[in-house]
Amino acid sequence: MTDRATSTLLSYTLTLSIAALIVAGVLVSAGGFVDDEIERSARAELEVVGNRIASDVAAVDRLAMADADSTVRLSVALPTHVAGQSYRIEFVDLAGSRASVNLSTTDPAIDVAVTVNLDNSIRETSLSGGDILLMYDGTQLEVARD
Amino acid sequence: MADVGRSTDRGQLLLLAALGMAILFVALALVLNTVIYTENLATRGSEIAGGGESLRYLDTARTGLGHSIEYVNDNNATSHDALVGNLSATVPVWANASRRQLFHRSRSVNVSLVGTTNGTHIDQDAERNFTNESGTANWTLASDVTGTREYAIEVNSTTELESFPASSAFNVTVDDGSTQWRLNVTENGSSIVVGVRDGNGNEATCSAPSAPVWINVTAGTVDGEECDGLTFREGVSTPYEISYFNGHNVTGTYSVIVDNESVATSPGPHLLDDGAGNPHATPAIYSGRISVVYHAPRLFYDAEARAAPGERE
Repeated sequence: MTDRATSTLLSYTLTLSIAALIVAGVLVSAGGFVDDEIERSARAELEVVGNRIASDVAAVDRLAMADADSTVRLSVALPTHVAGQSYRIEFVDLAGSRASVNLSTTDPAIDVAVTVNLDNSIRETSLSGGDILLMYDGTQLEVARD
Repeated sequence: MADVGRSTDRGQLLLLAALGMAILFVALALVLNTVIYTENLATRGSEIAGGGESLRYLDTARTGLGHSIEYVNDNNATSHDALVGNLSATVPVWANASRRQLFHRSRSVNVSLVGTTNGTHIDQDAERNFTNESGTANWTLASDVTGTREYAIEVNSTTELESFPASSAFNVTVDDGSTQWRLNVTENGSSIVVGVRDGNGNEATCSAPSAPVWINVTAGTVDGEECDGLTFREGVSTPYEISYFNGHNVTGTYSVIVDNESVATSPGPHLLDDGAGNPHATPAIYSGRISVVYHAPRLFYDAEARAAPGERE
């Protein structure tokens, strides 16, 4: 009669392991859901920030157009983080009087590009996210940390 | 064997799991919060809203300068120095008024006159033939000209005009030494025909039903109607001279401002001094430049604007 009371032990072990499995599954899927949401949020934020930068760059370009020898300085207030992540802003001069504002985060890896039509060329710059200063000094558009 | 019946230790696994999920969702709530903040940025207008306000100010200042130039040219135009002095005194008046107005909206602005181009106002303000002061029909109003503005001719009657087409019709010739732009005025029945032949050889005519006819040469209108093909000095390079030919074949008045100041300082032999009869030459300011500084909380804008009212754009 050495196997007496085995079924109680077995059922207890089984209950515990099934509960652990279910709990682990729920946690993993909730974690995945949160990660997805964070990525979507970061992308949405980068798009907003990118479009805002593009519109301000276009505004400075327009002001510079009114007088080619003018001086323009515009500071743009931007968040330092998107979805809790720091990000980078890169300005790329494209052919055909266009420029691209590229924003990226590393974790999660997201890239967002916003193109803008400009009459002046823009100096290619890469800087980390946060307040920036858009400038025109009579030759080309420039960007610096504010 | 453990006492599975002890109720205080039960459900620990569930508790841990709930705690983990709570932390995850709090983190998610924080992230979504920052998204709300950023999206809020998108709905907020840009600080300079496309640069509209500052550009409008620059444009208003340019218009103000234009009006100031017209005003000083029309009042007390005794010498170029006096004109520049009057303009320098006029600009700060409205510049200061606009500065006070914008000051209340956290904008700091400054307008200052940085330069002027002297010119000459050539004018015939009483009806007569378009001959020079001694009655010569073919003569040059101004030479060595690079800019002409507010050039208006009024033809009062058809009596003197040649019939269309006519080789001896009155004409305005703009000549750069190799190419000519011509505008002639003839009559066709009771209507008046304005013909243009530009420096590229293109010809066009516009007509007005009866005299008097206003021809705005620099604006390209005949009796206020746009005249296709009437584009002043099209195809002619600078500097050029403006001459009248067959000036005896037309009567009326005219007025033009050119950027050659020496015509005003020595008007002879074709023109008279101001007040001595027609046609006469008066000192005038041809154009001016202002420096405009516009300061908003996040924007610094420093630009120059030029005004030459009535100049062909």
